[in-house]
Amino acid sequence: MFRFGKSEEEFQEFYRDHYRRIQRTIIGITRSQMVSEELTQDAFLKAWKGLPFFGMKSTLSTWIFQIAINVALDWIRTHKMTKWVPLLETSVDLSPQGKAIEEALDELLEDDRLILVLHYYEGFKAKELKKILVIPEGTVKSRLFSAKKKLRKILLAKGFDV
Amino acid sequence: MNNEFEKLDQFVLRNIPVIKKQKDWVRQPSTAKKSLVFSMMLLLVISFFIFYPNSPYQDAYAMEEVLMWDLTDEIDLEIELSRFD
Repeated sequence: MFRFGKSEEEFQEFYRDHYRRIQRTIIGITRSQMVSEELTQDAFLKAWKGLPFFGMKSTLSTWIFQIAINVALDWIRTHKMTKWVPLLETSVDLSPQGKAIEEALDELLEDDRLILVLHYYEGFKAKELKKILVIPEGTVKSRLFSAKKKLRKILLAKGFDV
Repeated sequence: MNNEFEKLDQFVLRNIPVIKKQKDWVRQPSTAKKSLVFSMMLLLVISFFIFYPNSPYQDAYAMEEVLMWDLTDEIDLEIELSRFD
C-alpha cells in the first residue's frame, strides 16, 4: 500500500505541522472547540486512510483542508445546527474587537463564515480557495465579496468603523 | 474589492490571531526512484560523449583497439615462433 513519502513518521510530522490550522478551521466552521478536537482527529484519520488514493491533483495541504471542511460540514448537517451560539471558549482572551469579529462570524451563514475563516484565519487567497472549495475563482471572489460585505455590515452595527 | 474592504481587512487581521503558514507538503519520490533517474541521466550523458560523431573519445577507443590488435598479433607471433624453439 502506498504511504505518504517514505514513512509513517512523515505523516506524523505533517500532522503536527497542520493540526492547529485544521482545528482552527474546524472551530471556525462548527463554532465549537469541544467537538473540534474529535473532528480534527477524524479529518486526519480520513486523510491517512485515503492516502493511497490521493491523486496529487492538489497539494496535501489543500487536500487535508478539503477533508476537514467536509468533516465539519457533515457534523453540522448531522447535528442540524441552525442557530449558532457564541464561541465563548476562544473569545475569552480576545480583545473587544476580536470578540466582535467572533460574534459577527457567529451571525453569518455557513458558506460566508467558511470562506471568511479560510481567508482571514488561514490567509488563503482566491487561487487557493478555488482548489480547496472546488469552485471557480470567479465564484470564490463573488462569495468573498458578499461575505465581507455582510461582515462589515454587522461590525458597523456594533459600532466599529470598518 | 481590495480597496473597498481595506479597512475591514486591516481591522480583522489586526484583531485575530493568525497562525503562520507551514511549509506545504508534496509527495516526494522515493530514493530508489531518484537514484534510477540519476543513473539514467548519467548514462545518457556518457553515451552522448562516446557516440557523438567525431568525439575524441571515439578516436581514443579506436586507437586502443588498434593497439590491442597489434599486441595480440605480436603475442600470437611469439607463440608461433616458440613452437620452433
